[in-house]
Amino acid sequence: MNIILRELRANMKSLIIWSVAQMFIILAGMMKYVGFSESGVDINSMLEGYPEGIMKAFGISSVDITTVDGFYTVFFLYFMLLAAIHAVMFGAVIVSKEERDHSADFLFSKPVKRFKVIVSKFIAGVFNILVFNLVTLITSVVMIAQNNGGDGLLGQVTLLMIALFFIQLFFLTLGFLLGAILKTTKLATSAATGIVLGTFFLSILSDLSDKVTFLKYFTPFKAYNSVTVMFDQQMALPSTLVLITCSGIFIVLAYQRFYARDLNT
Amino acid sequence: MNILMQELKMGRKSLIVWCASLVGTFTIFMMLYPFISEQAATFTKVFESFPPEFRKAFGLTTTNLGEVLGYYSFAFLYIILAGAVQAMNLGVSILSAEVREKTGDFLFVKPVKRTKIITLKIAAVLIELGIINVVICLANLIIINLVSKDAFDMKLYMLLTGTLLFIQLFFASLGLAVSVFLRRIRTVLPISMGVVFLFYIIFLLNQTLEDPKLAWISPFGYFDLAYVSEHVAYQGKFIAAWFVLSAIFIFFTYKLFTKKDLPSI
Repeated sequence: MNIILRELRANMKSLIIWSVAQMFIILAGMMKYVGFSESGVDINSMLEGYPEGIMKAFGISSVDITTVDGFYTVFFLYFMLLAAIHAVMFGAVIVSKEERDHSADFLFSKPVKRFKVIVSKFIAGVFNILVFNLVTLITSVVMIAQNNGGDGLLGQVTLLMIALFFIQLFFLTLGFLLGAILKTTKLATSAATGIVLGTFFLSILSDLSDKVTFLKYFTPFKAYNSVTVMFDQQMALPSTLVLITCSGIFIVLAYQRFYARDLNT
Repeated sequence: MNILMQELKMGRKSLIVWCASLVGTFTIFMMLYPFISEQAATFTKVFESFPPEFRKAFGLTTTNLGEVLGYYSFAFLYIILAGAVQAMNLGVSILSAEVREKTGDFLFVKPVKRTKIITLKIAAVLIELGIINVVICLANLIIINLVSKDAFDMKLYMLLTGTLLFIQLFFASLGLAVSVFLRRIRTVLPISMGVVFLFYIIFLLNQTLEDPKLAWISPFGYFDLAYVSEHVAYQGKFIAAWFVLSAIFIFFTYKLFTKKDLPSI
């Protein structure tokens, strides 16, 4: 319990900064929406004439971004990016920082099992990504309600946030694994940066051509389609299972590596 | 001079890794060009009939994906994104490293003024950025010539590629200012990743509908590749903003760091 509280306190400032950044994005985005909806472009009638294949290639098959819920689905990518960076960095740093700060000598000489240490750190991590997630949810619902005649679309947004949570969990456990495998915090965060940038680029590439759509199976940023979650209220079950399984494997591996680790004092 | 050589020596490995990964990423993007150019004729016709607001919402401002430089300006944005992370990272870490790695006690007791240390370290950053830009400029040119036999406008190529240098210089100076402003930085990458992606998301948001106010917030918008492609020039007002902001950041770096109370061991 002490370790959890200690970690929560140590990460409070950074959590606040991340949350404020997220709120700023939602706020700025909704301001844009107001301008956008007032521009009065009738996109639906314009799109009717075009072949479906071309629409699909750019993922714009069924979304009308002049409505507030359609516009909101565009946000999901931004949320995923920020949340992924937050989660993976959190995981990578929290596991490896005791050695960096030379506090490992202090922490690991206490009569606490390493298992308990890493579980406490994991709980602190889940708490942090949950707070980030809830901040996103509440800000979104409030902002949507303002532009949608008081209806905050709580159900749909909640579903999107659940999808976001699985992606956060994936990156958090990935961060844990990197922190446990790699020798220093610097190496772990560098690897995390590479993976986030790499998987983000993959998600861009997979949209480009029919011949490379298979790339989407290698990137968590393509796990969910925000349009289907928002409008059909369907979370892709296979993606969810894959994300949960990966997270489970990562955390078990991270524990194993951490347990056997020769701590640098 | 010793300081400069030492910095360059220490940064060599990470510079090589960054160069290799940026060139590698770009190669993968360009490998898809043949697929895209095949479909381009259809795409171009469809896109041109869309209203500009709509194209921007999906980041399809470059309608000429079928031309090699049109596709280049699309792909190069992601190189700029990664390059911005590298530059910001360099800026944040180079001064704060002395405190973090506890070498400050060694360096700052030498008979060298702090201003000189800052100048030499900034020189090291400039040299590293210069190297990576030259490498990318040449490598991209070779890759483009490999995937496409069509002739292209060399001036436009240089202008597009040059945006990387401007954006990297901006983020490097921002990183320097951030590093002297914060009391102690334990891990660099979460800061640089967070800041760069925040600016990138603001830039993406602003593409939906151009908002003159929001355009000033994100440096990615200062050197909008779509604008450069269209006009074969940079925007004077944004160059001015870029210069003023970078200069302010550097000024703050000198001002604050010469008076900073550096914690010792």
